[in-house]
Amino acid sequence: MSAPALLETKGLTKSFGNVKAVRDVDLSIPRGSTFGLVGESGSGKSTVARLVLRLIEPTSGEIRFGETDLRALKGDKLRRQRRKMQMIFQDPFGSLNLRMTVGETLTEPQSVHGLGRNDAERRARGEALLAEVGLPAAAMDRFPHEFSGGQRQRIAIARALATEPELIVADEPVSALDVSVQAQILNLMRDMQAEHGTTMLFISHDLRVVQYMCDQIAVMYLGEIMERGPRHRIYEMPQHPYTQALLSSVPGSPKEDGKRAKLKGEIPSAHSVPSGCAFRTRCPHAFDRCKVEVPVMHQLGEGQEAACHLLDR
Amino acid sequence: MSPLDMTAAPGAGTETKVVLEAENLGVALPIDGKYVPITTDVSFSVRRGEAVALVGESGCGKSMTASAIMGLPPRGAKVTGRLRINGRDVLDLSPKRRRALCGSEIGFIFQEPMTALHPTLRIGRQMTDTLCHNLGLSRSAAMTRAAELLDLVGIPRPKDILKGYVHQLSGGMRQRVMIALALSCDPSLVIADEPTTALDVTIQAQVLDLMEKMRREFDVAMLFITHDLEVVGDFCDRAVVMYAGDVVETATAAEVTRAPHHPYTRGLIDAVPGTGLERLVPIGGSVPQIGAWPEGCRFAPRCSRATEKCAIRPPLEGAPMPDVRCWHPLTEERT
Repeated sequence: MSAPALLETKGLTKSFGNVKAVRDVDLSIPRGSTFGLVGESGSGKSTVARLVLRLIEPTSGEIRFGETDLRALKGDKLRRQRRKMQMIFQDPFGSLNLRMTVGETLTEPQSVHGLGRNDAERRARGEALLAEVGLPAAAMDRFPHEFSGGQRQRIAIARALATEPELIVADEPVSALDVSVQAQILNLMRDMQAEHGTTMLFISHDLRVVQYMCDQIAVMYLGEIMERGPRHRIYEMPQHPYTQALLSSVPGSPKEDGKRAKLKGEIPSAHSVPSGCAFRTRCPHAFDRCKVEVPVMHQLGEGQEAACHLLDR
Repeated sequence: MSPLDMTAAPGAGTETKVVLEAENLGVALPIDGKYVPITTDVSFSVRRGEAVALVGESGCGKSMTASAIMGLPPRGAKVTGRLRINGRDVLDLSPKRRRALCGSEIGFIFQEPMTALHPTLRIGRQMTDTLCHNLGLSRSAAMTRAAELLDLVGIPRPKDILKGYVHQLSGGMRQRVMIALALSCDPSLVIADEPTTALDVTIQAQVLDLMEKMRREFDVAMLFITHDLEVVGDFCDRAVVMYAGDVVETATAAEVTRAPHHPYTRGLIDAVPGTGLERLVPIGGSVPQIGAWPEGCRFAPRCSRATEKCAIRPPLEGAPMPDVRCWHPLTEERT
């Protein structure tokens, strides 16, 4: 908590035409920590990932990376900044270039960013990266199709590390993997973070995985942050009705009156975000005020915050 | 107790009636001119009113087993062993009779309703085709029945939905349509292949509630194929755990998810993050490729309990513990 933020956003907003995919997202990710973004499909969590890396341009809001105003960067300066921020994607089959050998995949980012004095040095570093993610040096001359899903995700992690980034954004990095392999990759990512002190923005729909990986967590719903705080507060004393419903929907959670479902209906379309509180149409506690007034974040101690009118009472 | 002890006895009490019985069911596919086994010796049974999970990771053969039961194995596949549905051997039936039987006695719920349902046929047309064909209803009677079914699975304005198309629905609503369709011909067996895997957790909870309600209301036997042990513990009565084409363990869902006896099942549980933060214990190595299974126990190369004895393939029955395909099963209960 005391560490200064590496990545900070204020009022981050993204509209696609009249669809407001992300609204007023404030994030602050302390250096060296793992920050989890959870939510269901359509919550805007992947859009946030792309915004903070400037893979897509925000409609409004600020993004600060350390001392740098990311939105002010252009051209060469932006490219140089990109060395410090890398991404790991969900689908290890789609995110690697199938025509490049693993060696090329691992040395290209180094050449682009002028790392290493010559090809031999870059190749040696590629081999070291492979060793770090648990693959043999012989993998350098092979192609992605020769590897399993878990091995490909290891290659993607090695590639992300190749530029010695300060921030890694991982968007559902283990969702496509079987559980036994998923555990290997999660452990690898934890070790990698401990080893390099990398800051991580970890995006997932899987609440158990987020609990395992993240120090701080923000819960998104329909483009907004509903609640955020340190892990133990979010999992042990969630204050927002949505967080509570999400946690008790995990299979294996206790069932009241024999029912699993805590919420009726489905997430509304981002075309027609409800007035007032975005969650009110599914909220079991909604009352009149929720329809007319957007709830503000309430400070709940230890850095936990939730946006809900119930907390006013 | 062996799952095979329950022999199908037509006319026996509905409580214990075995609807589906697989005995040494095997599927082999022709690869490079010779048959390569994909599943072997798969034996289990599902009784009326019971939900049995077929659980395992990708490539374990769970979906192949399901497609063999449905009579829809890949082209050229060789299916061996025995398969009885309501006491009748179905592997010897002519394709036409098999299809008629599957249509009237088995309902299917697939993982991805968007690909399982027809994209350019109205939902009403798809539902009534099935009803007319299998139950011999007239088009208008079938339409009335289809609306009733949609209402039953919690779809608002069923008459409007019947006129619409699948792409107009959300993932959760599409899965409700699939469930209505699966139950439309009053089947005795429903096969659900990862029915909630593509859904968000809050919607998954809704769909599981619905499937439980339907299972009780229609008193069907349900074969629930999944990779998710949490869902198994939550929804199913019994579980059949598969690994590399084999059944490795059969037990109650509670036993499988809390105190399993096969080291593989234990490994699966330890690999999933729980509420604790202690380091996960992955299963080392990876699943052997089809056609390159070890001679003896197929899990032995990844197993910390393996000994020389594991070079001999353990049977499901006759190894130290019944219904556990392992020479060194876990006997102590861990939490």
